[in-house]
Amino acid sequence: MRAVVIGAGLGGLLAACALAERGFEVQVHERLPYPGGRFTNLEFKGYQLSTGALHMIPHGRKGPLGEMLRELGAEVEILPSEPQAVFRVGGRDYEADEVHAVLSAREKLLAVKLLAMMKLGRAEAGEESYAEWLAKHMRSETVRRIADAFTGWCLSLRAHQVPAREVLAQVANLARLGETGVPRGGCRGVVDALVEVLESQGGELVLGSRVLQVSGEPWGYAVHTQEGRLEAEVVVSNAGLRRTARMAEEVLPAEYAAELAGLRSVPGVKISVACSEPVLGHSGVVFTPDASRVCGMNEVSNADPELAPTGKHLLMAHAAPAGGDLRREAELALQDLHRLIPRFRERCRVLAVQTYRGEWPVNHAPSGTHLSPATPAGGLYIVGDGVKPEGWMETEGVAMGVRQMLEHLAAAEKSSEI
Amino acid sequence: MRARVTERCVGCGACLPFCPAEAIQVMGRAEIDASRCTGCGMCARYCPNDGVEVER
Ligand SMILES: Cc1cc2nc3c(=O)[nH]c(=O)nc-3n(C[C@H](O)[C@H](O)[C@H](O)COP(=O)(O)OP(=O)(O)OC[C@H]3O[C@@H](n4cnc5c(N)ncnc54)[C@H](O)[C@@H]3O)c2cc1C
Ligand code: SF4
Ligand code: SF4
Repeated sequence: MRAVVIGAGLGGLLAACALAERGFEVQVHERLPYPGGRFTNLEFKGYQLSTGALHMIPHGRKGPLGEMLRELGAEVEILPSEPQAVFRVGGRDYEADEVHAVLSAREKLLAVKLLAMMKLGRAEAGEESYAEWLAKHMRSETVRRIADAFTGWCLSLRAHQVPAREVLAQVANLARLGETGVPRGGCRGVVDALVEVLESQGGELVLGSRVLQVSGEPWGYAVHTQEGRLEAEVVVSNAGLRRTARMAEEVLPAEYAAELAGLRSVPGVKISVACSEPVLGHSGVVFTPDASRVCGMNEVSNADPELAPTGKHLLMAHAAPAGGDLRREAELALQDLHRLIPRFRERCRVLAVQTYRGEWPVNHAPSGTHLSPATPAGGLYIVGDGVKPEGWMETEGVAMGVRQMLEHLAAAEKSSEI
Repeated sequence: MRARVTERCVGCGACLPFCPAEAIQVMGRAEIDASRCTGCGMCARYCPNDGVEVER
């Protein structure tokens, strides 16, 4: 059987490799001259910036992405971060299990209990937001800020913008898997390894080829690119929700297409900084609850020195915007960095300020959306960060979405719908 | 000016490293220094958002 994958982002490449492994004849069409989408390197002045991601694999070697890479035979070394994460409060860094030290005696007790419940996956929530849920248990402004920094870094949303259930499931997964890592070579290390797997399985990656439309045929689909027409029994779109709705308008029920088109993507701001010396000193996340826009920072060159020129370091900060004017949000984030990093002017130089929104966002759908990768059109699937199952953040969610897609496909094959 | 930033630019910076003339600055949106731009088209080629058009 033939499969066409639209887009060579992380979801598209994972799906393509898995399909090739299962014996499909796979062609991946990517409109850009490079694969990887928002998960590849952007070399600038000797530093490995990225098109999107902060070069981190949220659950390290043991998470869904690490596991899937291993299953596919993609050779990626994931370097675990030590410590996994710290919280910078009042100019001091606290490990996750110690951050309650900044609270009052009464709050401390509550916070320790609450966190233990969350980590064990025993905390329960209804339909409320994470901020509302927290407020039911504790009235601490500091705790609210810590929660905002956490969701801001992981999801580019503040605690009041995410369902509590989603965050609780994510925290339980984070605690259970207990690791965060940086792929050697950065995001591109992962993408290069996947392209190698794809090609070794006989799959084909066509760069600079934009898919315009997907139309129905009695035996499957015709995929129309700028260059011509392809035929396939299975089509996997990694082009995002709204683009997929438009491209496949002819084969999707109008109601479903409208649902896709109506989902809002999540914006974000990333700042990459060149440092003359290590300013964080480790490769874990530094959450920044004191800052107005920046939610966290990392310094991935401490994990893989090749991500910066010899002796130099690459620091990246992520900000979850509070308003729609991203230029203004970026300016506020820059001001934060000057306050958060001692002797910023002496040691640091801003390499790039990157903003994400619309069809090149941090997330194609807000966390907690849980759209299925199977569309109402049999044989047409969606992968990527618009279709993440509950409890899985960032690229871990992308990998889990691909896994779900493969399950749907296997079920359809079994009942000979395809 | 040869290269023109459009409404579709999101400010993602993907064009930044590819400009041989170092004519691009990004802050919420790309800005192109017309006195430096040679119209080579590299920015448009690497832009994921059709955010820049280059006149031929
Ligand atoms: C600032 C920022 C920081 C992040 N940090 C992290 C992090 O540290 N760790 C982490 O795990 N995740 C992080 N993420 C999230 C991660 O980058 C994304 O979840 C992931 O890259 C999304 O992959 P995707 O499969 O949705 O594909 P995408 O990256 O969206 O790729 C889709 C591809 O499809 C192509 N395409 C689109 N339309 C067409 C068409 N019509 N024809 C052909 N091709 C088409 C596009 O050109 C693109 O290459 C971050 C994201 C951002 C923006
Ligand atoms: S022109 Fe394109 S690549 Fe450059 S910042 Fe704008 S959207 Fe990104
Ligand atoms: S056309 Fe060429 S010189 Fe002009 S801004 Fe784009 S990349 Fe730079």
